[in-house]
Order: sequence, then C-alpha cells, then structure tokens
Amino acid sequence: MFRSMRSKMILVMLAVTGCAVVLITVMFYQRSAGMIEEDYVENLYGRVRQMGDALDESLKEIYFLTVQASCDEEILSEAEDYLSGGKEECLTNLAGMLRSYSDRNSEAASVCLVIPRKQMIVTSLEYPVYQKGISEDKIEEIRKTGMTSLTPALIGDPLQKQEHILVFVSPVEADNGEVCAYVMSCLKERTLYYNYLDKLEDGRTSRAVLLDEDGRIVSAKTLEDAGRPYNAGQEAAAEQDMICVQYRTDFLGYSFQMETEKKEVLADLREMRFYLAAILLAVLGSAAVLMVLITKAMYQPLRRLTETMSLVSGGELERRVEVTTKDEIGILSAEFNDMLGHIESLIGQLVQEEMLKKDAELEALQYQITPHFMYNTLNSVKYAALLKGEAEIGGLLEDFIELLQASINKKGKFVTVAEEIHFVKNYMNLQRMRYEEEIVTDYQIQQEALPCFLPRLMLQPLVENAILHGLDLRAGRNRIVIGGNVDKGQLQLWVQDNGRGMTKEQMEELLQQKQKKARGLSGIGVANVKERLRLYYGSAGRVVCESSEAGTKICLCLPAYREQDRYAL
Amino acid sequence: MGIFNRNSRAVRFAAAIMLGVCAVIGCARNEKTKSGEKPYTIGVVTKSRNSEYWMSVCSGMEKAGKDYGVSVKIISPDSESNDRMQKKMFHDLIRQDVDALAISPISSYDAPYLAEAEEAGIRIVAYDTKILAEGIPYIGIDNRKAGEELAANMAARLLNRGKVGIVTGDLRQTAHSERMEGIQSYIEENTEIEIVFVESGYANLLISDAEISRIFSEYSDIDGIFATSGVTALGIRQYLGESQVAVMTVDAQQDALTAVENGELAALAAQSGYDIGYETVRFIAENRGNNNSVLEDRILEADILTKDNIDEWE
Repeated sequence: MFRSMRSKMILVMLAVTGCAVVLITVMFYQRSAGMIEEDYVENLYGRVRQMGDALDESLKEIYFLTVQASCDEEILSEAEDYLSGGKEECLTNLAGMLRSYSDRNSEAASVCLVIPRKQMIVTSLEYPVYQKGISEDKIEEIRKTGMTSLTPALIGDPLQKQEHILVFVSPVEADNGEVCAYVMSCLKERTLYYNYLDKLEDGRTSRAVLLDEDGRIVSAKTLEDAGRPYNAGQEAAAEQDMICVQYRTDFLGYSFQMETEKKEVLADLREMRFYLAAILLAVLGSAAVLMVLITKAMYQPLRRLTETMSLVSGGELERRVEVTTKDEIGILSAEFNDMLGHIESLIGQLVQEEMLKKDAELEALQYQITPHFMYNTLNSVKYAALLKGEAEIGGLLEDFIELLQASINKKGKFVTVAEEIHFVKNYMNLQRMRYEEEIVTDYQIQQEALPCFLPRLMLQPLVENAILHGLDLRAGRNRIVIGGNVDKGQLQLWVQDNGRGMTKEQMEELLQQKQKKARGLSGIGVANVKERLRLYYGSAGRVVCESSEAGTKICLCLPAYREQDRYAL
Repeated sequence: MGIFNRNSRAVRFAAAIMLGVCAVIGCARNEKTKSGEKPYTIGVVTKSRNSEYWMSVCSGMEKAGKDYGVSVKIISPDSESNDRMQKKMFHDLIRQDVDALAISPISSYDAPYLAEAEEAGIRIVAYDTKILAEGIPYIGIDNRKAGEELAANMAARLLNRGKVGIVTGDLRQTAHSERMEGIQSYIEENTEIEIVFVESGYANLLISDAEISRIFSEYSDIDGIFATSGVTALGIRQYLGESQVAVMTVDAQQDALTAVENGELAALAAQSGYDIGYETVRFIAENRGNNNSVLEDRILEADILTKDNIDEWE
C-alpha cells in the first residue's frame, strides 16, 4: 500500500503533522487546565482569606469583649457580693451587665458568667437568666478553656445540650489573684457556618470546613462534624482529584479548609475537548488533502522519469524524459536523457564496426568464389599443359593455383610470415611473366620473423600496390624489397620499391580509399590492410607509409606472436 | 525507504524528541494546593486601640510584618489606664505560643509576665515605653532627650524667663516620666524659668474642662505648658483659644502637626508611631532565632518641629 515514495512521504508528513498537532493540543489543554486551576485557586484563596480575616476580626472583638468584661470592676464586685451574700438580686444585676457586653457584638450569642463555686452560669439571655446545677465536668472544661482567653474552644452548650458553641473564656480575678468567676462569650457553630463557610460555597465546593489549631473541625456543613478531627486520610486520597486551599488566620490560628473537585472546576474546559478534537481532525484532514495535491505536483516529473525508464528498459531507446523542472528530479531526468544518447551512440558505433567486419568477411568470401572456380579450371589447364610438354606454363599455372588456394584457405584467417612470403613469391612469379622478368624482388626476412602469425594476404596488396603505382620499369626502377623482422615483441613487415614515389595526398588517398575489386589480383587494397590491422589489433596494429623520389616504403606493424588464433575475433 | 527502517537513527532521534516533548508536557503540572503554614509570630500589645498614634503604630507593624514575612498578632486594651486588661492580654499571648512579644507597658515597673515569657522561651521587646527590667531591649525615641529639646525650645521662646507648667501622662510609664525629667532638668539647670506645677495622669485621656479651668485659675500668669501626650496638649490648646501661652508636646499625629503648622502648638517632638511600629517588628524579625543574646536598644530620632521648620519635615 505504501510502496511509492509519494505515499511514504505523505505518510511521514501526516505522522509528523499529526504528532505536532496532537502535542500542541495536549500542551495547550494542559496549560489551560493549569491556568484555570491556578486562577481558581488564587480566586478561592483570596475569598477564603477575606472571609478568614473577617472571622478573625470578629472573634478578636469577642475576645476583647470577654477580657474587658473579666476586668470589669463592677462585675467583679457583684460576683464577690453574690459569693459572700448569695443574693438573687446580684445575679439579676450581673445579667444586666453581661447583657450590655453582649449587645456590643451581634455575633456573640451570649455573654455568661460562670461561677464555679456555685456551679452556676449567669447569662445575658432573656431566658434563662441564670442556671444552677452545672456539672463539674462542664465547669472543668470551661476552666481549662480559660487558661488562655485568646484561644476559643468548641464545647457542648452547657445550657442547651444539643448544640456546639465556640467560647472565649477569661477569668475574673479578685485583687488577691483568686479566680472567683469566668466570663464566657458564646458563639454558635451555626452562626459561624452561615456567616462564613456558607458564603464561600459557589456550587462547586464539595467541602468547606473551619479547623482549630489542633486540626479539629470547628464548623462544617454538617452539624455533626463539629468537634471531630479532620480526616487527613480522606484529604490525601482525594488530593489527586481535588483542589485544596487552606488559609490560616493570623490572630486565632484557625484554618479555613476548602476542597473543590477538580472536574467541577474544569467542566467547561472538558466540554471544549470535543471542540479541540474536531479542530484537530479538520486540520489533519486539510493537511492530508493539501499533501496529496502538493505531492502530486511534486512527483509528476518523477513519475514521467519512472515511466520513461520503464519504456527504455523495454527496448524503446529513442524515448526521452520531458524535463520541466530544474530541481534534483530535473537534473536526474536531463542526465538520464544524456545517458540514453550516449548509449545510443555507442550502440551505433558497435553496429557500424560489426557491419564493417561482416562486410570485410563477405568481401573476402566473395573474392574466394572466382578464384575457386578458376582454381578448378586452371588445374585442368595446368595438367593439359604438362601433358603437352609445356612445363613453364604448367609452373606458372601452379603458382597461380597456389595463390588462389591461399585466398580460399579455410584453415584459418591467420598464416605465418613464411606462408605469406610464399604467396608473395607465387604472385611475383606471375607478375614476372607479365612484365617479362623486368621486376627484381629481394626478400630480406629475418629468420625470427618467419613463424610469427599475421592475417593472410597482408603483404600481397602492398606488393601489388608497388608494382602498379610505385615501379617505373621504363626508367629502370624495378626493384622491390620485401622485408621483415621482430623488434621488442613487434613484428614489422615492409614492402619497399625504388619507383617514382608518391605525394602526400596520394599516400592519404591510398590509406583512406577503399580499392575496388576490379583492380589487381585481390582488389583488397592498402586501406583494406590498414582497416583489418585496426580491427584485429586495435592500436597495436598500424600501417606506416614513407615516400620520396627514391621510392615508397609501406610498413606493417603488429604484435609478434606464434599462437595462430590469439587475435581471432 | 531508509526512513522506515526500524533501526534508522532518524526514527530513533524523532522518537527521542517526541518522548522529550511528552515529558515536558507531562511535567508541566500546576501546583493545585495553596495553604497557609504557621509563620513566625510576633504578639503585640499596645496601650490603647483607638488613638491615631496607636493606629499608626499598628500600621507600621503590619507593614513590617509583610515586608519581613512574619505574622503580627496585635491586641489592645480599651484605654492606656487599663493595666489589668493589658496584663491579661500579655498572659493570653504567652499562653498562645507566640514566638516573640512586643510590649508597650502601661506600667514600666510592674511586669509579672516576664518570668512566664522567659519560661516559655519567648523574646520580649519593649517599644514606645521601656520596661524597667534587665535584658529587655527598647525601641523608641529617647524621651528624656525629647523633653530636654522641648525645654530648650521653650527657654529660647521665653528668653529663659517666665513660668511654665507640666501636664504628664501616667508616670508609671517611662515615656512620660522621662520626658518630664528631661524638661525639668534642662529648665532647672539652664534657665531662670520657674516650673509652677506638674500635673500627672492624663495620658491619652482628654483633660476635662474642669481640670483645665482649675489649673489656669490657679496659675493665670503662666507663659508655657509642656504636655507629655499630644492628645492632652491639643485639649489644653483648645481650651486656651487665642491665648499666647506656648504649648509643647511629644507626638506626630496629624492633628498635632496641623496645630504646629497653624501656630497653635509652639513645638512638637515628632515621635512617629508608624516608625516605632515598623522598627519594632523589623528589630524582632531580624533577631529571630537569637533568643539567648542580650540585644541593644534601638533609639529613633525625634525632631523638634515648629512653625518655622515643619514644612521641611517629612
């Protein structure tokens, strides 16, 4: 499915884009959640602190009121009077004094005077004005609270058993330091809750509690929780899912503990997750479409190149890629086109060479036909001459027949220098009869050269050329030297005449133009010799011509070797 | 393609980048809990709660508390004369486990709470008014020197002659007694001015018209009056109306400064309640954790302000 480079590229780009978009979305979501939480905590903390400070100030006033009442000389005096005389009138007076203190603070439910010695409480309430028979336990609890008036205590209401009240207690001391009573200012737990905690509720807060310094609940939504230790274990368990804010008041050291479920705070953001997911999908979809379109345009040149390569590999070498861009694909296409041109040129060259070779072979075969027929005919003529006593004619026919045999020899295309010299001698015998022995031939073949191989009929065309174009028999220039030697692994064979010589143009024509078969014995020509040397030996085989007024020398240079088929094609 | 090779370095590199980014995102959680832990707490008891001077003292303390990261717990008796209530408040603060206690005692001589504080390991510092006990550092102005400088100013104004009277606050407080001693000693040693009366016990309480009438009917030819409390001085000034009697006091509350500007008060030893409050808390905060060493007093400047120089005073 993903074999093409384009599909892989689309896949990679989609993967990268998808990852980036997902990461950015997740990061933004987390940061947003964090900021919302942070803002909520800041806001909540501000509200809690405001409420805590208000509570602190209110309780400070009640503390002040309590201490002030405990230092009130009139209260002390009345209490002492009651303790000494036991007059009910003193209690009424005390209640009135306490009422004046209670009226100074709207949150104080009552201000009482606890008289331990009488186990009674005088109140600022309309009813009961005083109550006797307070239990020792309650008196002791109040006495302990009075050890430090600054710290209020949550106790069961000694007058109404069902309620919890927060009390400030301050001892009333006589001049001798003896504690004769305690002033106790009372604040109902429900007053605390509705005046402070309930106002912090905004529909999200799952728990709002007021804790004292020991971690006990002073006030909470549920009345029964008052006085119980705050559940720290529950707090720890809920920590992961809850936002907790705690504020400790300066004056009392009380703590407001606020807990809110995180999911409630982040509810709006959670709803936005679907919106974010939709945006994410839309972005990815758009990206995919864009990528398909862009890569299609980008990969069109590559597709053209691929198709052309496919056609070329099928044999259509003339195909070329249309180059439309200057990028890497464009460069590749142009290079591919160049490479195809080069290959075509090489193939053409090979075909040309092969054709030349075939042509040479065919030409050689074609030349064999006539000598073969002539050989058979001439052989009959030779024997007829010998039967009639014409030995000379018979010998000439013998030479001519051998020359024809050499041209149609099927044993191989390569012959030794000695065999080649034999062909030349046969040829010269025939030419001598023609020119009535005016041509002088001198053979200067080094012994070492005789066993070396060369393509057959290489010297005969040179000799023929010397006779036809070189010698000037009328001027007595009738000498031909046929030489050969081996020097540094190279076989050199030459034919030299003392004829009229050749101009430079004539030599070039001699080496370039192909001779027609109508002329001479073989009709092969010097150009043919040169071409055959190049085909068989490459640069190691060459023809060197030297000419002057003293004559012409044509030299063949080729590797000296004694294995017949070393250079066979 | 090479990029799809599982062992490709590019793939591993990309995976490492992704993991890194995820780790960064994962770690970018926000602190979700905000809580208040118990800070270093300084308990403060003032002498009174409603005068401008004491409110400025409290303001300076609260500002210093914020600046130095300490909690300041301030309580005040209803008046400068309620010694019993103030002592009860000392007792309550010591029992409430504060770390240090700053006290401006209504009585400099009677400090039964010192032993209890020492037993609880609570550092005690006196401000505004000294506690006459060893090892209790004091932060405030040099009251004796302030008295002397006011007396010198009065002497210059009266050309070293004439009659003056002194109205002091509660002499159980060294702030008042030292100011009085400074005034007395300078006048007696350096001038021919006669101190015709010394009336005490008016600290922070407006002196009644009856009392002022009594004093001025007895000493009608008086040239100047020293009041060791600004509130008392302003009460006297109000009674005197357009009289040329020079009134001098120690204070820096706004109505006293305005009175100097208007020429109603001849001179004022400027005792800044805000500075005293701020310096007190700073002094304690800077010496926290140093409960065992004896600390030196920190004496603050008290400039003498008159109508001539009050514009230059900040």
